[in-house]
Amino acid sequence: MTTRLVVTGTPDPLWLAARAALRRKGAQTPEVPDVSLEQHGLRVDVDRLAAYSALCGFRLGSGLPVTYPLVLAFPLHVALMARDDFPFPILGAVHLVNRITWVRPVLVDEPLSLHVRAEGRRAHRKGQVLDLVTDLHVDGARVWHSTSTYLLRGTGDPNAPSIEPPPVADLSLGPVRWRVDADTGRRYAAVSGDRNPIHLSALSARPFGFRHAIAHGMWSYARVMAHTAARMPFAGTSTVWFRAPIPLPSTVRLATDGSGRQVALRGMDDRTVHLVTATNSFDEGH
Amino acid sequence: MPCCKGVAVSKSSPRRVAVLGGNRVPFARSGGPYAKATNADLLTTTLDGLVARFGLAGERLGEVVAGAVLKHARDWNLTRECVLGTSLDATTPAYDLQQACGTGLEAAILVANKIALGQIDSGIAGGTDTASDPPMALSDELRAVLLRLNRAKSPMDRAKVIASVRPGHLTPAVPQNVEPRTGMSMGEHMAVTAKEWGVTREAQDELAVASHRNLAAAYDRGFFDDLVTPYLGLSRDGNLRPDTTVEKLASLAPVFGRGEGATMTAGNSTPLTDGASAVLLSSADWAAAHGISPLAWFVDGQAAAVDYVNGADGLLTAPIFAVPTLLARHGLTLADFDFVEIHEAFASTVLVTLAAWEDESFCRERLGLPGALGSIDRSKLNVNGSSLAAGHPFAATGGRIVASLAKMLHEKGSGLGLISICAAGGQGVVAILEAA
Repeated sequence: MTTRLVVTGTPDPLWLAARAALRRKGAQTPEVPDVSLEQHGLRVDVDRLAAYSALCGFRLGSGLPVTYPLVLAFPLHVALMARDDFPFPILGAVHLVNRITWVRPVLVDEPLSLHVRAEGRRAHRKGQVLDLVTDLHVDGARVWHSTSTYLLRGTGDPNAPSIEPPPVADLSLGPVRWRVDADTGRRYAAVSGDRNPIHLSALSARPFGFRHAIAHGMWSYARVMAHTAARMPFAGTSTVWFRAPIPLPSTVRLATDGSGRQVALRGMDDRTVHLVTATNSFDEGH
Repeated sequence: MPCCKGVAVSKSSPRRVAVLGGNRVPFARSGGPYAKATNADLLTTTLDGLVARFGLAGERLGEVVAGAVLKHARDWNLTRECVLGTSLDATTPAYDLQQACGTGLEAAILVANKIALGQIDSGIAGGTDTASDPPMALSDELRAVLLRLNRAKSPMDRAKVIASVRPGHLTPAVPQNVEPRTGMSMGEHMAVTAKEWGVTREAQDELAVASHRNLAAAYDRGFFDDLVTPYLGLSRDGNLRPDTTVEKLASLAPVFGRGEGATMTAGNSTPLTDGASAVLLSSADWAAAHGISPLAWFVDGQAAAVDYVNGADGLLTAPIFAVPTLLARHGLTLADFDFVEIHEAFASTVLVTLAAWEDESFCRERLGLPGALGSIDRSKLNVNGSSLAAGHPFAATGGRIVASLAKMLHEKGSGLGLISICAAGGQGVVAILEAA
């Protein structure tokens, strides 16, 4: 039986994360807590949305960017991961894959309900993975849904099913290049509230094994979704596979299938693939 | 396409041009709900709404023409960039246009003319403006310094250039709501003209109240349901005051003009507004092929300008001159129109326009007519409200009026409509629509 916890007010992600970071290890129990954190009557702050949209390249329209509910849900994600019974530490888990499904555009001025839970802890070749599941409801109906899969490196299972993106060899490199500035991580932290030190500066990223700060995966993904926003279906599913972090600063190149439904963000060399996305509309199946 | 003998580029006579519909966001008072929206946000959202309304996703249109009066330097290709951000086919050409407050209507005239000539079959005309996100430029002095810095060769030269910067250079250049040649604001110009024509405070306030009541009634009966798309929490124009009265407006202090005769207040002048509008135009064949019934035909348009700097005419009086020219071309009189839309830059602009057309000696001496052009039945004037109630995002007003008038004519089922819009620089743009 799932315990439903309704969160009132907005949890402060920074405080929760700092407290949880001191715990470092995560709970020893193998189970994920059977808890759903919920927030009701949530309203979008247009100023924050405008700042997010400007940074990621979205137009401030009547609908939310498909990635934006994850920004709204970030405090709940942290609140869940900061719990003593949560099996993963809050810092150090790697975002591997994210799948977002929407049944219609979510309007900027609709009152929203968020539901966040963890599930599906399972073996991976490099450790353990689990899913943070986020549902967004309007008037009691689910209009948007996300599954964020995180990896905790450790003793893996070589026989575990692998998580692989579709092949990128057929995607052609066009003229689109983006200079990703050194302050991208800090600017994304300011609009998203996610102040993970690996994104802020080289100095703060170093203890976590990075020589440079790295771009936030959800910024890179949002930037791609903004670039292809005009070609997005009314209802559909978008999946992103995070393959290699984008060191800051750097330059990345866009490879696409021409329609914008499949995109790879590549480095300037011939081998680096930072992320791969695939989007399908509902009527195409997926 | 190679030019060869016998290829008819256009039909022998111009084609009829259909107004199929429009879309706009509710207009917002500046600094309000759209404070964080850019012109690109407003125009893209408006185009997206139009595309959705008419099922144009993936469609290549003949062209999209739009503009903004207050425009950032980075928005030099605003309309094309916005088109690339919509679900229209990316091969739809687009360009920017700017004729002050006449921008939106002039865009419609240009698209209509190309359709009439057979150069294109369909197009969108629009406009956007935000007074909440105005461009600010470096001062001319600082720009000169930076250009010198760019040309400086040695570190010593550069140091000298940098040392020449003075604190006063750092003051930005902000767009001014004044005519460059007179230094007077549009309201101050209008106050002079209103005084010349003896327009009373009461008449202005009455016109303003009618505008609010008419617009509110139009919203109440659902007139705007397929013309306006809610945006950022706004579903009606933010400036609309349905319950305003002549008594309430009478309490406001004049803001333009001075002393005893000052009559223009914030209540009978349009406020600074944010918003965007777009209109879909096409040939009859294109409309039929897409299963869309035309609302109206775009008959013709006309621009005029007056020498408000050295001549005798007021800044906002050019439409007074444009309309008789247009009527003469079609053998029409004012009495032939079922609806007349005179943009309410200020209530006094409308009243001066009406007074001038009723004035026999003015019409004879200045317009070269045999007598008065005529009067307009108030029951035909701005019947669903105009800019005093809706607000006036400069370049978006033309699209608002064209779409609304086309729908009014379609609802009536027959007849003619006249549009008159005044613009900065002593200009005016006017047009005729006919029910389809």
